[in-house]
Amino acid sequence: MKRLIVIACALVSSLDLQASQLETPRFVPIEVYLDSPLPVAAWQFEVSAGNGEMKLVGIEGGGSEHFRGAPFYDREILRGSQTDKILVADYSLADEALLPVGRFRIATLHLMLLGEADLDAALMVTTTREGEPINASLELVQSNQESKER
Amino acid sequence: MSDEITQETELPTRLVERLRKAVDVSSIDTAQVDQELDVLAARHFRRRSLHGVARYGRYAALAASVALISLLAPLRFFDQWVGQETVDMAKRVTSQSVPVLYADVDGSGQIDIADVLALARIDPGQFEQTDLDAFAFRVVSVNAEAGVGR
Repeated sequence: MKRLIVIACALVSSLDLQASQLETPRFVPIEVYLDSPLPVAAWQFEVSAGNGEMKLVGIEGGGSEHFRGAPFYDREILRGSQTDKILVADYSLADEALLPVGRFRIATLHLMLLGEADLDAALMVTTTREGEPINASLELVQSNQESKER
Repeated sequence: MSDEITQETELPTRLVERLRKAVDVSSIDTAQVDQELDVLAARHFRRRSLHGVARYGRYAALAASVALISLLAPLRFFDQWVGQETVDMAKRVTSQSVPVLYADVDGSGQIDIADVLALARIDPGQFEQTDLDAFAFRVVSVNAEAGVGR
């Protein structure tokens, strides 16, 4: 009987530990890459979190010279609590020859995740300087561990 | 005595004849005069009634003009006001920092960062950078009102 109680207590404490791990917020940097066959003048993407909760803690600009500054995003969600989605966008009026092409980082999102948040990203806009849509792809890279290509 | 008076009041025949010729009493024809007077009177009163119609017509035209002006003037004023208001709205950001430049500029069917790029490229300098930034922040706004800042 005593052994049974010990096993039960161990099981309960194990479940508690798992729950507390799920409830512990995780701070995750997410690098966002764009892969475009043509020079990109404007881009816009959306990140959403399924199952868990997500909070935007900070955001950095990209690696390209003309997208190095912090992109446009809703500052209210930075000040607020959790959010379902984050919209990020930026544009450049630089000459076409100076615009980035190929695979390049456009932003880094610093997120606080609660629970098993499943991040999802959607590339909404990618255009040339003339406003022509580009068939580009978006990729999320989390701390060199995993990547999600869209 | 009476004989003398009678003699004095009788005019000589020659004088009477001369007086009749001078007055020309024979030209007076009562029926003809009446007819002519009747015609003249009818013509006069017909003209008078026509003048009345014309006068009332002028009043009616004047009233119609006033009514038309009073109808169109507010519309014109409203049009000018709306036009001016639109320009004002496009040129400023409200005190609540709500971006007001928000339109499908490139005709893609949706409002996104490509519209900001298109607007910035239409005529550089036509819109201030703060207006373009406000437009971009509205694009990435998760809620109705976008946060301002970059």
